[in-house]
Amino acid sequence: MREQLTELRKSALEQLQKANQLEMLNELKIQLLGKKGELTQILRGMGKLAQEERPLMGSLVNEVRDEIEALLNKKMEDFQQAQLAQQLVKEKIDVTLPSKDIEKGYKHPITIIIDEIKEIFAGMGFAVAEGPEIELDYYNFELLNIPKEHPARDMQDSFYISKEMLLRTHTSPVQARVMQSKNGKLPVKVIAPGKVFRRDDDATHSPMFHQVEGLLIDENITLADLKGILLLFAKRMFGAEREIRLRPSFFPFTEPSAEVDISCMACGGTGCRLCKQTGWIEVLGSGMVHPNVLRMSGYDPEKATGFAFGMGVERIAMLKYGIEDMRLLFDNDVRFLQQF
Amino acid sequence: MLLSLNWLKKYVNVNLTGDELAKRLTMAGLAVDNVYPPHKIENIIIGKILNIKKHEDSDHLLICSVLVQEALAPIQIVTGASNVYEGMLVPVAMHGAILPDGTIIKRGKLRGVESNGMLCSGRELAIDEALLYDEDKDGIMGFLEDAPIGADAAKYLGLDDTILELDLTPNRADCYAIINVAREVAALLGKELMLPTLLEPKQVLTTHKDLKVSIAAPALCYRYIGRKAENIVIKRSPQWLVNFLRSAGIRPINNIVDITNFVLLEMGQPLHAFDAKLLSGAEILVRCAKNGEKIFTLDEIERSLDEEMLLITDGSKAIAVAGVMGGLNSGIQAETKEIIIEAAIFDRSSIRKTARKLGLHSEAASRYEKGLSTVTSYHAMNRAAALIEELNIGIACSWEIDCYPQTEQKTVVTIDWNLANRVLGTSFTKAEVLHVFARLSFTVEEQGDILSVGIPYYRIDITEAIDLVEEVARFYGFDAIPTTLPSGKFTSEEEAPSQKLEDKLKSSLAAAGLYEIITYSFINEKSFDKLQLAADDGLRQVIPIANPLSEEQGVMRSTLLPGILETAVRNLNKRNLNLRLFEIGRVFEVAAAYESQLPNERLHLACLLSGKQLKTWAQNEQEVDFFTMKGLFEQIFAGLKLSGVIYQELTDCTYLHPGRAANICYQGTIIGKLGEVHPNVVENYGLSQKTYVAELDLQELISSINIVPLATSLPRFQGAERDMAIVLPDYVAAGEVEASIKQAAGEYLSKLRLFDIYQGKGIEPGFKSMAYSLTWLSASEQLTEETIKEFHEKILNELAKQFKAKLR
Repeated sequence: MREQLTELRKSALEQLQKANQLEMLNELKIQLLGKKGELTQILRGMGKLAQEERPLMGSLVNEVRDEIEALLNKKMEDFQQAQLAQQLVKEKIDVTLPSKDIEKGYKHPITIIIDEIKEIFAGMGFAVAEGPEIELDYYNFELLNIPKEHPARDMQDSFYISKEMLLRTHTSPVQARVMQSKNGKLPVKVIAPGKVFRRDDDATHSPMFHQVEGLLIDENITLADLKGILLLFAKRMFGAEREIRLRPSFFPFTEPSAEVDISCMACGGTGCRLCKQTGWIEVLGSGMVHPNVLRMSGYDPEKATGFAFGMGVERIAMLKYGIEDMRLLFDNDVRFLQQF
Repeated sequence: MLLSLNWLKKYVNVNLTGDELAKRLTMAGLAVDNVYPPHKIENIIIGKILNIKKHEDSDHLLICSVLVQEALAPIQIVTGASNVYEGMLVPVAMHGAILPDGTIIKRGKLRGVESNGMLCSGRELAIDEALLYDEDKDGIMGFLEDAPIGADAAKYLGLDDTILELDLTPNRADCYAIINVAREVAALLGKELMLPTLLEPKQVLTTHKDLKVSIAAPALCYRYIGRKAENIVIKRSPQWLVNFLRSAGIRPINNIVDITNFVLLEMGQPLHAFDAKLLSGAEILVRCAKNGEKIFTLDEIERSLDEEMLLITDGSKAIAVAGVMGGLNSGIQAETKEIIIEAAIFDRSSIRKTARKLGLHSEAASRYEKGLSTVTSYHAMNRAAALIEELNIGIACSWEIDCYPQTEQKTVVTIDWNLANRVLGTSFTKAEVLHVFARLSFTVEEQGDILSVGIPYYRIDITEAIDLVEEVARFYGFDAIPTTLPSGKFTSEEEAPSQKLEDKLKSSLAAAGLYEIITYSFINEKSFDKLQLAADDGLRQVIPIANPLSEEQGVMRSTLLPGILETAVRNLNKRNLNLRLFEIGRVFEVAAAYESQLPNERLHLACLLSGKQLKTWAQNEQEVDFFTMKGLFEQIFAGLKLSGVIYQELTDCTYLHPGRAANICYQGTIIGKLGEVHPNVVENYGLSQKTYVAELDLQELISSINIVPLATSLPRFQGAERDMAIVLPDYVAAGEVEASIKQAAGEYLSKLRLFDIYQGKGIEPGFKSMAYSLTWLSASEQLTEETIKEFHEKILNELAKQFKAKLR
């Protein structure tokens, strides 16, 4: 029996070594280790052995079986690896082929800018408010300290619906609406984005455009605070290296009033075509809320002060993205829109 | 406004360059938009034509002998100009001279005759043709007899001047007067101000035998000063005066008219001079015009007036439209000997209305519109009188008539000086604040911290304490104000829910592959015809704009569809054929009393799909259709956590295909429509391909932004998937079948998927086969085969009952 086993071991290992196909291995597996296989045949002869020989022979059989199995498994593994390698080669694709189309969508550049502005001011604790696009003269002018003879109140410059009603010419009436709704409570801290309308139509003017208004009223708000908020805004919106400059100006609803310039993002302030060699670019109007405006909307200027600012979204988009003609923004050509 | 640096230097010794001064003024609130430096002009001198000969070989050339320096021999210059004469003083460009446009003049020969330079026209010296004397317009410019021969002509003409262009804000209308800019400059630079000479009258009367003034409309005329001047000799003004007028863009005419314009520019007060002999009596009456009353103004145009317009009359006839323009019948003539000068103050809005109605935007009118103190007129009159005598034009009377119904009170503003620091966030001392007021010539009376500040008459913009705070800020400059952040007080504010909804939808639609567009809020009313809307369609209830720019922008939109359809057309015309557009914006709904009550503004969403994704190596052509649009909306509603939105057949929407349209319903309300654009509408708009649109009223959905989904735990069991194919009449809508299956199935049907619809072989005509996959799932138990079978029976019974459906 021992000889039989030795013989089997020898021939089995030889045959296994020779096997060069997966099928041959499978056949050998059955032939050697199967229920009717050679090793099983040998095991059947165990019964004829003496009692004391059996354990010895048993362990010998196990040893041979383990050896065959190990080799068999290893060969199988090798074959599978080889086969997988072959398959991978066969499955190779040209990764530079164009992709399957997934439709790509785009927000309008105006929306993108408004979103950025909202995010910056939301981070500073400003709420987002809104007001009607068709507005009462009372809110659009009267409560903003804009006198009756002011040119903005001419039919010439504004779209009127009726004597008392017009398309709002700025987002500033939201100031008055918010103040009234707060009923004298402090602080008032909002921004208000929205559409506004003026009777102009050329390469740099559109009869409809967008503004974002900002308003902060509280105890002890100062012009210095306005400078701080606007400097922060300029840096977040146009880059950390931006500086701001305030120039005295005039708006009926703020005093003192200022035009705000930022250092030119194209040249950094040394002077170029974009900034007309001045190093500065005008981006918004601002000022301390006029005492009359505070009073008319239910706040005591002795107790509360505040600032307001307003910016043109189209202008910011044009500056930031280098858009040269405002009309592109309302043409909505998809080739333009997909640039943002 | 144009500001001559040379002129400014008459009143204040400015030692800055034009650019430096511009920066200083800009940072103090007088914005300078442009600085025009002097032209580069060289070697052009004043010469005198001694002798003129005809050129023998030319019918238009003249040979002039020109004296260019006393005691030197004259030089010969050939000219083509015909307005020259012997004795004429002219600008001579010498050999080597440089003209403003860069031309270099060289000695040469003209048809064989030597020419040693060029006689110059005004245009060649870069003087605007509109600012030349009439006789100088065609040809060589002529100088006054006292022009110094041999002197630099450019300097003589004031062409060495630097001009600043100011963009003044409405509150600083005082700076339309050069003297007030000078006051500002003197204050800012700490320099002394040199005031112009004035000739005060010895007597101020209310009436005189030689002149009577009365105001019949005191609400529109606050002051009227009249002063006579006699022995007038009308001629050209001296060159310096002409230069200053031209620097401000005013054409010189004659000495009297020029003086009125000079004082207008210098002091901001419009003056008018009448020829006293042309008035019918020694009388001025200020009254409102009668409707239809007519007057020829100085520009030789007959104007028809109305009763809102203010008129100057001589008691019988109209002699000027007050504050706007004088009458042709009483203006200064070459032979005028006696004049009446008017210095008056009229109501600004009345002047503005008149100027607008007449389309006559004169310098005078524009000064009145911006506002003037009544005190200005007194000083301006005295300035004009001084100039008349200084320039030897005539003699100003020693008396004047001053019709001044209500004397203007000096403005005194009370301020606690600490207000400056409170508003500005600065730490100025009291002395620093007082310094500003002193520099600006404001008088101050102190009572502790409280200051009573007297405001000079010309600063009509200063009426309250905050105006004084602004003066302090402006004087020291905004750069001197620190930069801080507001001290943080707790607030818990958030975005308006409509804004949140808008943000969310825009993000999800962009992610779904759509392009956001923004179109005008006003549309063309004719769009409604293109949409085939019935005459009584609610969308035709629009709000018209009273003064639109054009009919295309005539009414406020009641729907977003015209905007999105027009955008599609524009894109298709540019061969952008695959369109997936959306817009979120407000539409306007007429309120009951639309003239006084604000309309309802409703937030809408519109989507438009058109075209196809072209075939590629990897994908077949994919054309959009109704169900692409419907899928998009299901995605939107899923994103909003809205369930229970249903789509109902819509057959009578005029702009949608009657067989391919649906109402979108939520909680029993129609909140939108979607479908294929009606073929007629496709044609009306000139769309070149099938197009699908949808419009949704978001107003009903705003509150949904607050929906918070509640989590349920996941089932422990696997669902069992079974198919069911039924045959039923083909008119039965899928939505009804689905509703009926769901209703019969009960709570354990977790998914229902229609995977096939079939008509044709094996199915009786008029019927269709619908194959559904149903997934059954219970959270608490594994459903048995028998249970599922029972469910299917129940469903089949229900379908049979409702639709005569049979199992296939």
